[in-house]
Amino acid sequence: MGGVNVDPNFAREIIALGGKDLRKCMQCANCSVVCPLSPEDDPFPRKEMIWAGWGLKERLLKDPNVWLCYNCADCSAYCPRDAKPGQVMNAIRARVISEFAWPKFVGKVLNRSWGFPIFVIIVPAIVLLSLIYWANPGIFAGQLPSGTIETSKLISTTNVEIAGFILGGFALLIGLIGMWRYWLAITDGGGMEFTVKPLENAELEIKGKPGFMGLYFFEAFFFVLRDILYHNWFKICEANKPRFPAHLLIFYGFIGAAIATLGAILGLGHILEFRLPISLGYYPLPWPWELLYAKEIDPMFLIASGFKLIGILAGLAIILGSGVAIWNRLFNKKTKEFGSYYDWFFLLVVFFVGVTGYGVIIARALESTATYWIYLVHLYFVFMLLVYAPYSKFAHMLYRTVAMIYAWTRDRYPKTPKYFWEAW
Amino acid sequence: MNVDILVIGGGVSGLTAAVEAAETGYSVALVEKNPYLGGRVTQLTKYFPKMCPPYCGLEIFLKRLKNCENLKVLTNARVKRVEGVAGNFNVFVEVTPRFVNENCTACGECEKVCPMERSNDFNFGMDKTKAIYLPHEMAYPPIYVIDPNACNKCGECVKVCRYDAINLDEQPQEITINAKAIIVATGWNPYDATKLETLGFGVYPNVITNMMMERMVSPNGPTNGKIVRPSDGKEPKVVAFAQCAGSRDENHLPYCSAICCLASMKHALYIREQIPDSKVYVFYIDRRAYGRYEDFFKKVDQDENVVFIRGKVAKVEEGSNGNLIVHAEDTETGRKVQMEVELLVLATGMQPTTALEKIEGLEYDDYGFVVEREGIIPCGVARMPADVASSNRDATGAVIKAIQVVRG
Repeated sequence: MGGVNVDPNFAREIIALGGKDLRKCMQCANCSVVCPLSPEDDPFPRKEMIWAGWGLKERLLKDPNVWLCYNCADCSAYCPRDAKPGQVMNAIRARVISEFAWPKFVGKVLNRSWGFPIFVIIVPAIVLLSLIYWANPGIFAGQLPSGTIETSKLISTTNVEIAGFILGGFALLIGLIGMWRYWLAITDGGGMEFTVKPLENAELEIKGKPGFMGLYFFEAFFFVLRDILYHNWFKICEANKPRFPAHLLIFYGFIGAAIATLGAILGLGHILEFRLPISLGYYPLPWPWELLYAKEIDPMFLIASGFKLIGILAGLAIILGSGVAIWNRLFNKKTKEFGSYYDWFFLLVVFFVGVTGYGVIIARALESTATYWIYLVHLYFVFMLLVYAPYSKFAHMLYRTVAMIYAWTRDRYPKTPKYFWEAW
Repeated sequence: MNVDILVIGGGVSGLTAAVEAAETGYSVALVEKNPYLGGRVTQLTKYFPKMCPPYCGLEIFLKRLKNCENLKVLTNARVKRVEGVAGNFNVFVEVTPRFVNENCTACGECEKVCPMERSNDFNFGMDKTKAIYLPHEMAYPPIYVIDPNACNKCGECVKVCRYDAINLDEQPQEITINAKAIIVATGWNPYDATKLETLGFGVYPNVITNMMMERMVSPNGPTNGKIVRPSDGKEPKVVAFAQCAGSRDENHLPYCSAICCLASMKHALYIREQIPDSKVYVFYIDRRAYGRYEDFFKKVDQDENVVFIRGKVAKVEEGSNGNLIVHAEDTETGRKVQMEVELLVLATGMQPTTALEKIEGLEYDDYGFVVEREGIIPCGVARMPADVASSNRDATGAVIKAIQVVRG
């Protein structure tokens, strides 16, 4: 392996990102054994602890093990030194995201609390206010639309769509760049073929060769997707049991929200100026309970209100899920982990996206003009969720998927139940 | 009662302190809560540094103690409260009844007729004694004692006793001792292994503690010195030791208990000597054989059937036939280890007695060890975890400090 580059600053970065008890570690390896997810061969997080302590930056940035960890916190609960390996692994993940998401400095600043005034106040203020000014200058004069409450009266759907495409497209692009760069890093060049060579000091040298991935990739992806959808790995967690329902609710909440958004577009019948082949002809989507009063039921009306129902449930799931996660971080003493700025930033943004989104629904149902103000706050949180997605904890879904696919192809996948029902 | 120096605790530290203080001519009182002197050392099979059986060292102390006329020994007595300042302490002591007086010749007739049994705490509950019992065969004072929690006051023992030694109506007493200086030698308890929830003590019968091992190998122990598995009485061929069971652990005892590494090495030798075809695995974080004990470590390390694995035992599961599956990561190979063993010994650490039973009026640190202040001098494990030899030296040093207080 030749020389090893030691970067003492790396250890300080990990400490600053939340692994503050890193240096207490005495390498007893209790963590690797109590971890329900750690594989037999080359288990974690004991080695990651010493690598982080020594500042072996290159090794850790290429270490897919950090993503096989689901922060069950069993390691932290039983750590004899209270070094909180779970939080160290979490901090390493934050560092991986900021390393691979282009440009690097955004992630570095965003995930540290001193980035707060820049990324939570200055940037959204400038970007969001100019977007809103462009869409409806009247808002700044305090002129709220009159008549029935419809958010599209405040900012037209076209404006929301354009802003959404620009910001969302940017986030997607940065995310894909990060994913690709990370894949190249952990596979040593991108191929699925690899050689394994045992080295001294219990190291394994796994060298990838550039080559064709083929169906192997899709086979791996299938199993990874199954485990993500079923949340199989979360179920194995011991100390951090509430994490499973919390993540499940947030995860399906977002999927539900995406479906409802799709429904809204179908309800409108066109994207920008392009007409869609199908149009439900109902925009905004009708309340599901309007079905009760309808004399005749139009199938399009039924579908449109179905989308609305999904949206209402999805919002509830996001609020409930992030609420459980917040409660868990504050009051679950078993994990001994409080989380870092990186965790709380993401968690609170998700929570407030849910709460303000629901606020809009309720205020609109009550036909209150407060809808417009809540809607603006909602846009602010959606902006933060969307634009910072590739740099914040949100990006975990990209990197974790990549690392899990990698782990599957290297036979380092933890044993998980094969089917959903077996997990219960 | 007025004395110059009061020694709390009659273990090896307290005995050293009391005898050495008394031999210099000062009046001394020694208060011991057990019905016998010698403390934890009496429970050992052999002790460091020279692998002596405990009676070897204790016998010398007891002989010296008998020659000290200015030394008053109280057994079955607990210090409840300390009041006052250096030069004038009032110490309140509760003496629980022994129900047997000095007339006892330890003939053992009473034991034969006693109908009640009690779990033998001297052997950590591995066997039983009658409600009237001699704590162990070399107990000093060599007098029987009745456990009031087990005794049903049937009076059978009183009938057979030919020496008029038993009085079932004896009442607890409270006495006050005035002392100029106090030496605290309250010693330690093995850490409660049932608190180590992942290691299976109390759940799986073949998980025992190091002190249980010590009693088992002892010729006067529950198995008369034979190493067997508690579940089926079979001789274990594969034995594992889990070091730092509760020590160096923020969830239990955050400090190093100082002796467990050496104790397990000693136990490995007991096993290897008694069962020649046995294999011993020691799972450790660090091997702390300090000072001259390095030689002992080297001796054990030379035996190829004693294998040291660097990695803490984090999980224990039940295997077949009462065997145990020990889980650890071998940090030298970087792989997880699942080892099936026939007996698992937890190297539980030393918890100061005063962590669980506080004496009012003393000062303690965060872990319950006694902190020195003027006129109150802790020694031995009451002050910090230590082996026998260090405790002896510590006690001698404490005597000098106490004498300085007494002389003003």
